[in-house]
Amino acid sequence: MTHDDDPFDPKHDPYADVIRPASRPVSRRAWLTLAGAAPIACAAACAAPRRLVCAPAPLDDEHCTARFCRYRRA
Amino acid sequence: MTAPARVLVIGAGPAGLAAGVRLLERARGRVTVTLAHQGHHLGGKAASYTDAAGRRLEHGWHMMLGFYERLFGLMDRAGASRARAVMSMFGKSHAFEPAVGKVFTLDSTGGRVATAFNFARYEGIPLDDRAHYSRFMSQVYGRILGGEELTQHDDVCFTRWAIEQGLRPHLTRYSLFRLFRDGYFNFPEQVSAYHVLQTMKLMSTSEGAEAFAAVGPYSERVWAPIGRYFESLGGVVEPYVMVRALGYDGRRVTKLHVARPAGSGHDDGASSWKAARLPVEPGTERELGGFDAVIAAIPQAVFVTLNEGDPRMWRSPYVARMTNLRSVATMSMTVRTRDPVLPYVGPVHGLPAPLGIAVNMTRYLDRYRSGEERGHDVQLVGQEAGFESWSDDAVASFALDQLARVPGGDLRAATITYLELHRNRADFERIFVCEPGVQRFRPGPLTPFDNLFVAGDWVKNDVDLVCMEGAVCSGYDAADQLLARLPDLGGRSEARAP
Repeated sequence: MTHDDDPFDPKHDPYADVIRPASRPVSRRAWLTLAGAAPIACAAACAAPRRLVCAPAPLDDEHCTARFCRYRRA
Repeated sequence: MTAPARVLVIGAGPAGLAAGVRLLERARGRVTVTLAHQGHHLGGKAASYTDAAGRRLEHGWHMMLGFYERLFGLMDRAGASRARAVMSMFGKSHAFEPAVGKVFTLDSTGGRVATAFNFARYEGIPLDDRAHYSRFMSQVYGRILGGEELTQHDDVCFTRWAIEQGLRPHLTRYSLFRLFRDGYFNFPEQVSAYHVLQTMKLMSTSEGAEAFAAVGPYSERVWAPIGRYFESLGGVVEPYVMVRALGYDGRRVTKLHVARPAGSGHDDGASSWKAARLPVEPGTERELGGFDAVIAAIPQAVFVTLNEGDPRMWRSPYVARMTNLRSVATMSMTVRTRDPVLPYVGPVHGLPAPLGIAVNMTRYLDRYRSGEERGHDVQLVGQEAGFESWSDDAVASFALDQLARVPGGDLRAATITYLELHRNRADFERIFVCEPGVQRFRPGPLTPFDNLFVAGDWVKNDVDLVCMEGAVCSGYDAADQLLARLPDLGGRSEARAP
């Protein structure tokens, strides 16, 4: 069988273009925006005020109410 | 001299019959057509017939709609005119609103303005919501009729689409909304917004929205006359041929591996077909050749079972796309009662799954109108999705309980004389599902094989809905594509007579 005779070669797929359109390329401007905004967003997240004082959760005084706090009463 | 091209059509549902008839109507003398199918009745998933024991067997309850122009045309040419095969439901349908326990009538006669007025008068939802809903629906119709490209809405479920377009979310819980979404497909899960909008488009006129019920079994009233018409054009019908695999050489299908289904496979059992696939009669496996082209007018759920041991085929992009398509089992229940029940003309929507639609067929069926049979005949239809593990008794009992909440719908109180529940679970009975994003994976009539074409309501076509009209349209498309390629299909050269 030659390559042209192969029914399963994608080039013989009559509806190949229906599968999915190619995604739009990321523009230079979008890359630059991302490069500029990402450090600012990270810095803002790090600098944001956080509750640093542990307090026991209601009905569960073994654990802290703050999310991700690793405090656990010994 | 070139002999006529030999065409083999597999499947005798609406698509296969339409394709066979189209080929002979358009190219008689240039093609010979054989229609091979596995059952003993024509009609495929749209078949219904009475068996030897007098049971009427339905593959789901079907109705025809006014926009079925191609099918009605085919019926007319076959001598099975609409006047003799079906009866109008007079544009009436009903929505049962469980919250208030009442049935509200929707009347599609009188044009778009009258229909919009009907929505505004629908007392099943509060006035303020009704006004909002009416406004929303007129905006949607405005967009549909304004020629908006509807396929762009295929990726999202209709309910979500409606909410995104501004419909108050709680309104999607009313039967008035649900009948748009599942009234046509009887499908409890997500349905592509494109398909619902396309339905609304085709049903936007009084003529298009008029619903018709068959006056007798579909196979006898509609499909058998079309089959006889096909034979009168020179076509040959071969029953009991079950296709199991395609044999190919390069880009041509050269033979089909077929077998005769075992008789036991046609025994419907107590309430459902026994297996996903019909069992094969031992020793009947054979190769079927002697054709120049094939139209596979078989359900999607069957097509994806062909050539199972051929991973190369199923890994190819064209065929692999089909594995993203889904089909589900339908359910149908026939209940006959001694006393009158369900006094509504046309279908009642709004019952909970699995049997979401109920119709009193007494006024349509010939044998009741002629007085041959007495009592009332109620058909319920829906889909099995989510209820696979329920026993038949549980489903029947649940459906009767739910229908009893509808005014006039207490079938037990009307003394049930007959009850038949069918779960149409076999591959060849499953109905294609138009879930969001489905358009991306549906094929058109062409295949990577030069001489193989596909047809069925699951194949993209101008109607594009899962219905008999979609299947007929697709059958015509496949036949037209085949005829356009007729010179390349290689009719055999015949020795010139001395």
